[in-house]
Amino acid sequence: MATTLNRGATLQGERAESWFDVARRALSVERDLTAPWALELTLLGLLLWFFSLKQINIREMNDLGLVSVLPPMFYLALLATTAGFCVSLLQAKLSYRLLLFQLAVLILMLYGVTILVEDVPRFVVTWLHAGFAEYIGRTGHLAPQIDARFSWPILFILSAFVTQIAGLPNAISFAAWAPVAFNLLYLGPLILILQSATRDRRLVAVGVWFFYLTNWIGQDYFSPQGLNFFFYLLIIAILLKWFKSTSSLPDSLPAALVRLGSPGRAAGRLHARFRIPARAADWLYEWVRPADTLVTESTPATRVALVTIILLIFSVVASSHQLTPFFLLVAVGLLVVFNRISLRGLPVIMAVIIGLWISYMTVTFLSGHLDSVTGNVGKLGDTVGANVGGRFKGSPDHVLVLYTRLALTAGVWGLAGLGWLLRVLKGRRDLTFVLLAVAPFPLIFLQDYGGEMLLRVYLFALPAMLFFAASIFYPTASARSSWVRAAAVGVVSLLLLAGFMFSRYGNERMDSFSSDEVTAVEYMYGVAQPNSLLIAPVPSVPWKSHGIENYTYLSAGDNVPPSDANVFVSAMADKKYPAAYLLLSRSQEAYAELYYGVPAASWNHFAQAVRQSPKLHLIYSNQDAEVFVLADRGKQATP
Amino acid sequence: MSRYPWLWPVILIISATIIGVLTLGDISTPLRAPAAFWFLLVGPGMAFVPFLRLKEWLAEALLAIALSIALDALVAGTMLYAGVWSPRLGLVVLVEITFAGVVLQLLRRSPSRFTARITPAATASAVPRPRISVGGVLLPEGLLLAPGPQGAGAKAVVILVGLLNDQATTGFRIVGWFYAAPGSFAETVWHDVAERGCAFEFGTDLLLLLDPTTQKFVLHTWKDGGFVPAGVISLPQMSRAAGAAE
Repeated sequence: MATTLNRGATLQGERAESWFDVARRALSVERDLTAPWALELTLLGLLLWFFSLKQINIREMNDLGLVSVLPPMFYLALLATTAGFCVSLLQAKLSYRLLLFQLAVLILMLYGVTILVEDVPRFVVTWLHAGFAEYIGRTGHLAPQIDARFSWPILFILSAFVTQIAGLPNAISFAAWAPVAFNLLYLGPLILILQSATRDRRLVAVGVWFFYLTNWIGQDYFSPQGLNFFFYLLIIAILLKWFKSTSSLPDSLPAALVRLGSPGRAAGRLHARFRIPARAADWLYEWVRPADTLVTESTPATRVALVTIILLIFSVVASSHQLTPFFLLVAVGLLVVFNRISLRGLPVIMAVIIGLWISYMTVTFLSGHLDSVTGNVGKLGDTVGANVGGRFKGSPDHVLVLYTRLALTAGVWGLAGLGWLLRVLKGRRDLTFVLLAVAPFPLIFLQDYGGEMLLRVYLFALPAMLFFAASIFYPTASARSSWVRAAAVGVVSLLLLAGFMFSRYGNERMDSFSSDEVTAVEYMYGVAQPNSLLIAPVPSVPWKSHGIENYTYLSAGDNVPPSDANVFVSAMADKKYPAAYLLLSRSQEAYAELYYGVPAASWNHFAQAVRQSPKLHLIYSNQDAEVFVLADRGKQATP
Repeated sequence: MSRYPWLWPVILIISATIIGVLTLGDISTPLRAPAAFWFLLVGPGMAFVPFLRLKEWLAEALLAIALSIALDALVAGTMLYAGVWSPRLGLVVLVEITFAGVVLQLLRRSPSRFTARITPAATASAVPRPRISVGGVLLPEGLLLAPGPQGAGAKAVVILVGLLNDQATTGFRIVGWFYAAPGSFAETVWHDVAERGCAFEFGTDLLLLLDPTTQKFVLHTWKDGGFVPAGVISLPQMSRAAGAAE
């Protein structure tokens, strides 16, 4: 009886609420209305995105890249998805399932768009990597004399293996999907890494969300480093989840110094004598002293198994990419030195694995070079192709894109710095994440990697940076969810999205290829005898995806565009080659204009000179590409 | 995943068989590529990752994928460096690795029965909490009960624990029991989560949380890396047995 009465009273109370209360509760944490709303907005975004794809005409793109051809509906889709994410931040307890779905949709929208609007895989190196896999699958051997990347071949071998097991003709069949697949893979370890720092699900969600709005550097194409970044994240995630150091250092710096023996005691005497430096040292020590919290307990057997998995993964990393092992080594080394993780021997084992691989591979690499007669085969041109950041030159629109990249990078680091400062002021130290954010930077000085190093540093520091950036919005775990915070996340997300679309797809005019260009390349392979000379004035061509060892490839280097066609005619006349082919194509022109800042008129002038040259003879053309041979050898070269 | 311990072994055996037949028979079908990617991404790793008993599907899935890729790469790489490049051979090796893991899994798992049901409760407050008196000392073997007027209530707890632990009839097992901080009923701190979380092995494992001051208890299960109130446990025998004891 009493229960019935109470129930009636509650119902009346609910009816008495004002519309404002109802609206507030609908948007706020007490009701589960937020999750369905968030889901519906995300689905709406997905739907809008899908229909907007048909309105994209990739051929009309200018030097601003993909943004120049995106219809308004595409931006509405991004807006709806962002709104859906912000609404989901209002849930009383943020649902990870909903979050995973929203992030998967975001990844498809941002990283899958080019796959669906372009005919063939983008990015010239994608084709080259498919060519490495093709060579390995066909011959069962490596060719370090053709390309140094054969000395870190494990993932090319894996690609060859997967291609043949899947019964596919080549790796190009699936290479286009690599960005979506890799970014989906990054999702899990990113969540685990952020969970190791906070129990606030909103902070985790915003951090991961930001990652996909700021991962503009495009190292997630079909490449070893794309998969290796997943391995990097996963190893860091395992270490932070299961292997955090649980024992704090001694309570005070003098107590810690005593443990170090006689040099420590000497330092202790200095500490007692100089008060002000001692205070500074104490302050620094207090950063290192406490162990982290939020450790996942595990049995010894589980820990042994986890270490085994780490070592298996790391041996794949060390044998598949030149740089990622060093990023891992420095990050793990710093975590050990600062007492963040308990696996003290891991950096040593990692260094040994790296050392073994490099010393073993150097032998192969050197002997390969001694054996090789044509040491320069395949070397021309590839180095510039991968350079996404580039120098601050090129066409005016391209320079704008470069400045957007700079602004986005500075913005991310600025937000991270601000978030870190706010957390320090609140008494939080977050040493682990500070270490992960700074660990990549020393590698700038250790290795010169064709100007790309800063981009990679940005990528490897990104998860930790974004933890701090996200903590601006959810500074403490007890911070109540409010629509103001969610809206602020939304506004920043839209700004980052704008930067992302310019930065990531700013080179799209030269990074994308058309099926006509591929047809022209295939035609060339079809008619060219082995050992022929293949020339592209600018090496932005979807070639080398098969038979890389059979041809000599040549391009004009930085001399773009060449003053006239004769530059190539003399090379083509070399009797060393049974035949020689000159390829002009749309993406070469785009590359010359974007990257080298060549005016369209002067490229056309060069192309016209080639077409009108009496020494050259056109044997194939379509709307995007032309293939020429020497006029006097034309009969030999044409089938 | 632990609710259906046979599910993954079955999935893995089917996946490995399908890709094995398609590859060795050199059958070209549109299904071959998805089957290959599925098996090579998940199979070899998922055959071994359950041995880690992680209880978190995200971590388990990630490690399974990473371990699969690593094993695929190491098998393929070893073949190439050994000068015996044969994708078919590599696949056979990977299928055998997967089968070995599955067989080990099946040998290791003891069948568990599910005769009692846990009704999911939306909130902990919906759980009717019997008021009982508990006094005693917690030992690893169990609760050492204090004598006195509170004995009757404590006896009810013991009966409950005994009933739940009788896996033959209920399928439940109490893997831990401990006192909450006085007055903070059903609140767990991360230390407890860390300490007790690793005891959970199966979906039917329960944890008994006692609050000495408010004299309440509640049962927890383990889900997504944290304690979740177990909800209403329907044990028809409990009232009868408890009544008999009184």
